[in-house]
Amino acid sequence: MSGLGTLRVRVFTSNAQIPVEGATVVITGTGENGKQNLISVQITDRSGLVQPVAIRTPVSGESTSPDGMNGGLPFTLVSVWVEHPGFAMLQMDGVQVFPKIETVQDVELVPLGEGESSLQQREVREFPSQNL
Amino acid sequence: MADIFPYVPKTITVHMGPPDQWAENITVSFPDYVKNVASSEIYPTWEPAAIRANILAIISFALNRVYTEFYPSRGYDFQITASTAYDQKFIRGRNIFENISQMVDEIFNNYIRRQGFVEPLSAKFCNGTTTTCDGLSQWGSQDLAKQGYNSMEILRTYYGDDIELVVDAPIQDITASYPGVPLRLGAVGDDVLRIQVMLNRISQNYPAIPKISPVTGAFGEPTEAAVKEFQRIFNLTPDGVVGKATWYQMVYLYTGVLRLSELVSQGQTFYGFEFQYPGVVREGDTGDAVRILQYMLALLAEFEDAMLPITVDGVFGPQTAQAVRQYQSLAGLIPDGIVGEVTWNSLYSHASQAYFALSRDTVRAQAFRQSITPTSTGQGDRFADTPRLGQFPGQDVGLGQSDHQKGVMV
Repeated sequence: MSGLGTLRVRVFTSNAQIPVEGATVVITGTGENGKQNLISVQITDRSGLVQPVAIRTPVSGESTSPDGMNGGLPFTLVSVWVEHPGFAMLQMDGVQVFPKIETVQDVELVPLGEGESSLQQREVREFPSQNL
Repeated sequence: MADIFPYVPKTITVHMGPPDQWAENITVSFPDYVKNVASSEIYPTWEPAAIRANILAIISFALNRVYTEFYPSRGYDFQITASTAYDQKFIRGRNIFENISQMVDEIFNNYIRRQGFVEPLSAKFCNGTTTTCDGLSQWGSQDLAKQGYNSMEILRTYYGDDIELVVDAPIQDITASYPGVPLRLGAVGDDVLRIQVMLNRISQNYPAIPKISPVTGAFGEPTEAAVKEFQRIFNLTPDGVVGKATWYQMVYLYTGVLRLSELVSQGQTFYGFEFQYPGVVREGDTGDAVRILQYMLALLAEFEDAMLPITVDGVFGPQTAQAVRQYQSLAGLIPDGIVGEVTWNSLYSHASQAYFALSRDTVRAQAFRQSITPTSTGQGDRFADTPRLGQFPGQDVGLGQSDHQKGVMV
């Protein structure tokens, strides 16, 4: 793991992409023993952005030829959770980060109905990897 | 049948499974679709020429499906599927890669076709290691790029020497085409005026973007500062120059903002109507209850990609019934397409909350503030009256123009 990539998260609602300020953005990774480890917790600013987060990745050689270099995974997988009262919480698993590449995770939140809680209404999305 | 000349659609509706199985239909803008597919199909660490070749194949394949009306002509209500057995991989809401995104912004209205044919090439591809086909090999394209092939040489290797590149195809419903040259400090003219008006409107939702005032049509330092902040927020190179990527990002966003504010102002025409459950509403019904129902569905469609946008015409036809079923299945109700009390109240509850999400937008919300917004939430004051209506529309206002549809662009 000697590469480095970055992850940017932007949170908004509707097709007009109205920014959601004050949303909690949690990024977690998987540790050596398979346990989740916390990488970053941030609150979105008035443009719906958090600071880009640097994430350790494998080296580029793992993803630039079919056999890779050491036969390891070509990317790092992280999870991103976004929560803001009034919107359904969104959890994204399988977010890929590659070395020297900026990964952009746009998060479109959907408003909840009256009386619904953002912690109860949670949508989990699992992103499968490329078929390569 | 299809239009005579291929165009780039504004949006594309993707069926999230095989054609014959039930699955959600997701509607996204065409550039976003291409960014998503490219990020789902290949690795962003590949050679730029390989990435470009793959993006051109992805665009051409999708445009072929749209142009030939492949699925609609077979009775389906979508344009392409997300299933790799039939089409190309699309993963709802996935992350995208910045270098792929930039390249798509540059070439999303370019495609390849066979010489002498008008339709975009139905450009098949497969990974080239575990599966092979009579089309592009994804790993093979990376290998050729490493050997120094450019993107067209790679594409010719797989699709034949008689393919040609079509650039700058027309884009559906986009009245403001990219002027062809980047706009930068010192530029003057209608295109500058246009970006100033767009930026000022977008800055209502994004207060970090400084307002350009007065709007003069001259690209000065205030415009450059606004462009740079826009680029920073939307992850474009923050150079203060409006090239093709920045232009279309702005135009697509502005179109979305306008559609939503048109819906919001339409809400004002319901002032005085009751949003209370009017009794069962079903296919074949007409009138104000249907109009309000359609309004709530249309508003929610702006917030939920799995709902198709519908027109508010007061007639409960098959399109409205389908939208009701889409809503019911998303809300966990029985998708029978009939609006009883439970469906109506659920819709009402979601639509009013969606309206709250707009409180950051400074559009006046008279109708909802009066009749749909529950007073208990205490957020009513945040619907501030807006200076928006006083903003220079960016072109002369003449006798006989109206704000609706064509006419003044605000």
